[in-house]
Amino acid sequence: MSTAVLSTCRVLPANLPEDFRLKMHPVFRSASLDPGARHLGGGEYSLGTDSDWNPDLHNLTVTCTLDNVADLEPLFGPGGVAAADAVLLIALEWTSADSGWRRLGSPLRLTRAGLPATDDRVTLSLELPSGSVRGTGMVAVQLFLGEPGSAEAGDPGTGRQKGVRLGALSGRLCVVIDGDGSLFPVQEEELGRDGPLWKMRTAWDDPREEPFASEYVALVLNRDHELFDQLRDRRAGQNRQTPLMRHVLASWIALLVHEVRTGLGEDFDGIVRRQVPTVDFASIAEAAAAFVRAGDLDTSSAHVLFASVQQWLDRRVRETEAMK
Amino acid sequence: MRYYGLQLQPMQESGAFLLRAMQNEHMPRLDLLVRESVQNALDAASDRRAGGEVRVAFQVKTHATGSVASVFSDGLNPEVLRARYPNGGKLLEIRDTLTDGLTGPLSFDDVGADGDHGNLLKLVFEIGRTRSDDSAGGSWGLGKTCYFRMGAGLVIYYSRVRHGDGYQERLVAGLVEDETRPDRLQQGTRTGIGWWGGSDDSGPRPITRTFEVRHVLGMLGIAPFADTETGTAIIIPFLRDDLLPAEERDEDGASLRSPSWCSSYESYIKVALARWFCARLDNPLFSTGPRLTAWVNGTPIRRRDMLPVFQAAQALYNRAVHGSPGPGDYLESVNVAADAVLHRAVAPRAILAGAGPAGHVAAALLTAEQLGMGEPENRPDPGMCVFGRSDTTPPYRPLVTFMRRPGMCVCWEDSTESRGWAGGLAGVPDNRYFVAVFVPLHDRALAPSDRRVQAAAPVTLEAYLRSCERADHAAWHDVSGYRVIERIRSNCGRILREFGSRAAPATTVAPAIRMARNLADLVLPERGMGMDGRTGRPTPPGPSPDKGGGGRGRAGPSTPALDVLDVRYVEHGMEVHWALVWGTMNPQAVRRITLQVDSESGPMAMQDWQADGLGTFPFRVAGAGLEPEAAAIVDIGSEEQGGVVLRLKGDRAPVTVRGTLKIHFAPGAAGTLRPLLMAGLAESVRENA
Repeated sequence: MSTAVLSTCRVLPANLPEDFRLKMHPVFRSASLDPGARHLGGGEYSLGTDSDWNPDLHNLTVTCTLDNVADLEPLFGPGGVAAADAVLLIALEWTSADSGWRRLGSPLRLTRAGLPATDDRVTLSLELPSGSVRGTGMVAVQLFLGEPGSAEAGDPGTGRQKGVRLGALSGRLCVVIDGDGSLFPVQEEELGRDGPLWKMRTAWDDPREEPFASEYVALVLNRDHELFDQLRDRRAGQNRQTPLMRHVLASWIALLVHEVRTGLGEDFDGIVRRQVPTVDFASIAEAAAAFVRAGDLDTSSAHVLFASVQQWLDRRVRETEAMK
Repeated sequence: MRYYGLQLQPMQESGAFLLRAMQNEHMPRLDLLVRESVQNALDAASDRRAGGEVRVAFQVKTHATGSVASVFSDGLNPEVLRARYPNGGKLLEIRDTLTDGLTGPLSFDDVGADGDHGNLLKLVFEIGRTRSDDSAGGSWGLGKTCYFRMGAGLVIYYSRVRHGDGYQERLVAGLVEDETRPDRLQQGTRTGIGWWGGSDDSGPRPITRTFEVRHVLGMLGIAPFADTETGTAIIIPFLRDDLLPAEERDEDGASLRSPSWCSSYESYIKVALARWFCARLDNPLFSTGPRLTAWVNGTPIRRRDMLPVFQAAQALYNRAVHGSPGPGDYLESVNVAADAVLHRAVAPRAILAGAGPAGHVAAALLTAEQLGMGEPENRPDPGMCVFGRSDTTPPYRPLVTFMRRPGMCVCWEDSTESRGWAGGLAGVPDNRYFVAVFVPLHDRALAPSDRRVQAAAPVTLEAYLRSCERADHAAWHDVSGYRVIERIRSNCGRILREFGSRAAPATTVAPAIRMARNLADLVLPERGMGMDGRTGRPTPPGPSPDKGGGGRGRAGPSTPALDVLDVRYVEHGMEVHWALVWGTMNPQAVRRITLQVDSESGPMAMQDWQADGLGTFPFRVAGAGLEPEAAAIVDIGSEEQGGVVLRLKGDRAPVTVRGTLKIHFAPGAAGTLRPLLMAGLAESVRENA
C-alpha cells in the first residue's frame, strides 16, 4: 500500500522555495552544569562529553538562534499559508519515538508587519525536564497558525483553523541521549570514615552472562574517606586522572581480570582470543578480556598481572596526553 | 526391654548410611533437630484448625549411664557404654501435647486391609515413608534420621494415644549407629540398626503395659503423660557435645566472639525455635493451623522473648497473610514508619490457574535501635541472630525468609545476587536492616498447561512446593522442566529490590557519571560497554553473516505507488494531481485509490468511520479524471465517493498513470483532520490471484 497525506489547507513549502530551511544554531544547557554537547556532523549532537550530565537527574535546555526569519514574508497573503493579517507561530519541537514523547517550546508570534529585519536574529528555546528524555530525539522548528486573520476572497487554500500545523521550517537536529558508548562502572557511596577508600562490588552469577554494568560489577569509591578528594581533583584538569585514581583503577582492573580468570579458567583465555565484536551489551567476561587485549596484560600470575595493568595505564595516560 | 537387631538383607540400609541420609551438613545439628521435631509435632496436631494450639516442650538434663544400661541391657554392650560415657550423659526430651501421638498399628503384622501404617510405624520403623497430606511438613521421611545423629544413636519414643474409650501408652526405642565403628554399642550387628520393645517373637513392637512403660520412664527420669493428655515424647540420651555450631576463628586462630546463646543447648534451642518458627510461635494470628507454644526447660517462649528480628519477622508474616498489623504488632511498637514497610502481592504471570497472586510478601526497613541493638538491650545484629555471624559493614545484606503452610521458615537468605529472593538488592541506605517474609497462597492450583500436571487432579502450589524441598526442607528448587519457583522468586525479587532501592536517597549512591565516561575513554573500547550517548547513535547491528547478503537486491514484483504532484485548493475542497506507478505485480489486477482520514491510530477508511458511529465522513470524491494518454489504456471508475478504481482496457499495462481527483470537504466536518490517499491492488482481485 502506498499512501499520501494531504492537508485541507495549504502547508509548507507553499510559496517558499522547495529547499527553504531556517538556519539553526543550537546551544545545549542544563540548570547546574554543562551537558557536554558535541556536534558529530550531519545535524547529530551527542551529550555527556566530560560531563556529569545525566538525563535522569538533569534537565536539558535547547536554545536555537535562527537568522533568516525575515524570509518567511511570502507565507502571509495569497499563495502563502495564511492571510496577510494572520498570526503565525514558530516553536522548537522535540519528538522522540524512544521517549514516546513530544514537546513544544514557547512559540514566537510572527506577523507580516512585525517580521524581524533581515539581519535580526531570533531565539527559540525548549525546556526538557529531567527524567523525560531517553534514546534519540529530534529538534525542529515547526510552523503553526496562531490567528487565522481575515482571508482574502479567491484564496481558499489559506488556513482557517487556529492551531493547525503547517509544517517544519527547518531540518531536524538529532540529539543522542542513549547510545552504545562505553561507561566505566564506577560509583560513589558513603561507606563511612573507617570504610575502605574503594572496593570492588560484584553481583554476578556468571560473568559471561551479566553485562559489564554497575548493577553487576562496580568500582565503589568511598565519599567519606579522607583521601576521597584526591581521587577526583578538579585541578588535575579536563579528563585527567589523579595519580591516586590511576592506582585505584589499576588495582581494580587487575582484581577484576584476576577474579574472572580464576572463575572461568581456560574459558577465559578463549574469550580473550575471540576478538569478534559483540553487537549486544558486552559481558563482564568480555570486558575483562578487552582489558587483557587492549593492555596486552600478562595474566600468568596475580603479581605479574598487577604490574602489567599499571604499565598499561601509564602508557594509556601518556598516549591521551600526547593527543591533546 | 527386648532387643531386636536388624539382619543384613539385600537392599538393606545400614546405620552408616542412615546417619548421612539427611543430606545436610551445613546446618548446625540443633537447628536440624528443632526443625524436624517441631514439624513432626505440628503435623500430628489434634486440632488442625487455626486458633488451636500445639505444645512442644524441650528439656535438657543429665542422666546416669547405668540407668540407661539397665533398661537396654539386652543387646547393648555395657562395657563399651561405660567406657564411652564414664560420667553419665546429657539427655534431651522433646514432648509434644495436644497432638494425636504415635497412633496406628503396633507392628507390621497389625497393618489392616487399608494399608495405613500409622504414625508409629512410620516414625519408628520406616525410613523414606512420609505423611500423605500435602500440608504436612515432611516430604521425604528422612528427617527423622536426624534424631540418631544427636547422641549415641539411641532414641526412645514414648507416646500416649486415644485407644477405644480410653488411652494407651506406647514405648519403643531404636538405635542407629555406624556399624563399622569399633566401639559400637550393639554387640552383634552387621547393620548398626536395632530396636527395643515388648517380648514377642514376631518382631519389634512397642511395650504398652503401663507398669512396664512407667518402669522405663522412671529409670530415665521422664514424667508420664497424665489426665487426658495425648502426645509424643522423643527422648535422646547421651547427647553429643558438638551439636552447636563450630566455634569460628579468624586467620590468626583467635576465636571469634560467639553469640551468648551458644553457651548452652537450652539457650540455643530457644533461639532456634524463634529462628525457624517465628511465624507460628505464640502467634494467635497464624492462619494455616494451630499456633505453636513452646517451652525450654520449663520456661515458655513467648513472642516477646524472641530476638527482635524474629518478632519483626512474625509481624511481617501477619501483614503478608492478613494485609494489616495485628494487636501488639512489633513494627508498630518500635514505631517503624509506614513508608518503611511494604506489603505486596507476588503475582507472576502464567504459572497458576485462574487470576490472582501466588502469595504475598511483606518487608521492612529497620534501624539498629528498632532491632534492639542499642542500650539497654544490646541485642546482636540480625545477621548474628539468623546465621551466627555478624554483617559488619553497611549496607547490610537483605534478609528474606519464606515458608509453606506449616509456617516453618524454609531458609533465611541473604543473597545479593540478582537471582536471589531480594532480586540483587545490595543493601539499603542509612545503615538500616532489610527483613522480608514471603508467604505463598497454598491452595492456588498450578496452571493446567503444564504437561505433567494434566494427568492428575489440579496440583496445588503447596503440594508443588513440598515436592521441591529436599529432606532438610532448607531450600526450594524447581522440579526439572518447571519454572514456578523461579518465576515467584524473580517477581518477589523485583518487588523487594524496588522497595529497597526506592528508599535510597539520591545522595548515597551516585553513578559518578563524568568519571564513568572519562575512565571509559581511558581504558575501554569507545562503544559496546554501556549505553551512553556521548558517542552518538548506536552502531546499527551489522548484517548477520549466516543470512547471506541477497535479501534486498532481489526484490519481488513492485506494487503500485502513489505520488501527489500538485494540490489546488477550491471552495470547500481540493483538486489533487496525482501519479500512480502501476507496478509489475499482477498487472492485470484492478488498482484502487481510496480516500481515508489520517488518524492517530493510522489511516481510517469511510466504512470504519461509519461503523464507529463518527457521523458523516469528512471527505468525499467529487470527481476524477485521467490524463489523455492514460485514458487510452486505463478505465477509471468511482467507488461510492470513497475512492476510485483503475482497470486496464487491454493487455498492455502502463508504467505510470496520471490523473486528478477532486475531494470535497463536508461543511464544518473537516476541521484539523487530514485526508489521506491510499493506493494498492484491489483486495478482491488480489484474493483471486
